Amino acid sequence: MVGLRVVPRVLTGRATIVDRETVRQVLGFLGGTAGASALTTFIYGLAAAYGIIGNAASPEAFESLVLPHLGGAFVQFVIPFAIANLVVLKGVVGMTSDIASMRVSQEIDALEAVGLNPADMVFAPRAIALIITAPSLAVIGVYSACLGAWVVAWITAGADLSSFAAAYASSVTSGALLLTVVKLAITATAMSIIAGFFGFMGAKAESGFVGKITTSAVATAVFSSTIVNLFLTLLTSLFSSK
Amino acid sequence: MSVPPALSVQGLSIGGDPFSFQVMPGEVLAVLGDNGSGKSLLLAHLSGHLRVPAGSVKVEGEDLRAALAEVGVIFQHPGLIRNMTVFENIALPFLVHGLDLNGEIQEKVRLRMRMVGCEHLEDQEVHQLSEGDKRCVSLARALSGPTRLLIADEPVASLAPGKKALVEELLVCLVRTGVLSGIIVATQDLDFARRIATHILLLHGSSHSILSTEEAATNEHCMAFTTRSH
Repeated sequence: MVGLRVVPRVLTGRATIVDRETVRQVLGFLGGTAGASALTTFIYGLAAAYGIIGNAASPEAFESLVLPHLGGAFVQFVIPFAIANLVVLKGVVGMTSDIASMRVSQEIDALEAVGLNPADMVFAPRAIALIITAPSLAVIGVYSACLGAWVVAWITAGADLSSFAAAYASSVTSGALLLTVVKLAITATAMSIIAGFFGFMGAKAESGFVGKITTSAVATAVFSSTIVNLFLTLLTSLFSSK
Repeated sequence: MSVPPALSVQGLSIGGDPFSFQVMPGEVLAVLGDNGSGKSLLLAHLSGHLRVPAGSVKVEGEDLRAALAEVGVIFQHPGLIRNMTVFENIALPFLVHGLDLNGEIQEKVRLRMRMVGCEHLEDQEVHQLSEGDKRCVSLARALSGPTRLLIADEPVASLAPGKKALVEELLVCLVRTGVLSGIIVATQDLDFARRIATHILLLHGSSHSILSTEEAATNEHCMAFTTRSH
């Protein structure tokens, strides 16, 4: 909701210093991860299609039996995992080390001294960037994975891109895509809380040990992201099977 | 009606004997002491960064918590916000009070940049600056907003002699003309302290003493400190 309030103020030229920082973080995070997520999911698509086609009885069997379900399976199981990994690596590492080093270099103290709440100025913009960007990356990921899978199908069976993409897209239901987007937003929220906690509290307790604090944050985030993903996947499977 | 002190400290303890002192309008107090003597800790209490465990700190008769907006702080590390330009860093206290970056604050910020001699750095990112320039920008930011009391931790550390003289002159001018009601500086530079301060708070061991600048010239602890510093 905080993120939504930023948009009209930015568009009408009445952006506050916190709004500007939020926009800067969103663009920075999106710019820094879009390419990596497209490439990662492309490789996931490539590897998955190669594995499946290699084990399929014939390219026709792949086209008729696997392809109609491929997009759905990617959206539900592969994309959230791949993007969550990126969010952990880029988001949690960046956010924790940023906050911790800002505390060490007294930037947080300076913000407090001028009357700005560091939670508003440092934590919220980075958390919003993570929460907005992670679901957006999922949308990029769905199509990159499709492209990766098509490359294998084209090399092995000369599949046509438009018909391959149409068959792939038919299995990506809006419900499944929405669930993935929600799943990633929840994962990103959990990652932001972990990064914020370690950044602020860890640096307070162990001033100067930014590397150690970041490592602890990443270890906690990797574990938590796996648990959150597992829990949400089980939950969505439970509901979709009913 | 009597004028309230710029800063009044009663019974503040930072581990040793409790402090009680006043800085009257127009005065500059230099806090002098060895490494680890508690200068930065004392300043963290006086700037409201750390809660006062016992005693009271008042700024122009008001409790410190209520007067925080009027206290400008230069930290031991300059604390400039890394992803902002020099201009944005100096404008920060104005922006907090809802002023528009493109409006009236442009001139106010440029005035402060001229005061500390960093007008040529306006659009630079702070990570590109030298340590000395960072100190100057930090001073300009501390003077933005409704600052009445300046608390500065090593304000002239890493400054070139020319810049150091400019900052000294500026601080003395601001306090003598009443723009600032008082200044508290922590330093290890006794010569700098003698040039700008009206009083010196000398921290040694768990005790402290308040001296006039003339007394500091002959005080045995000050002399011993100067000898060690050189």
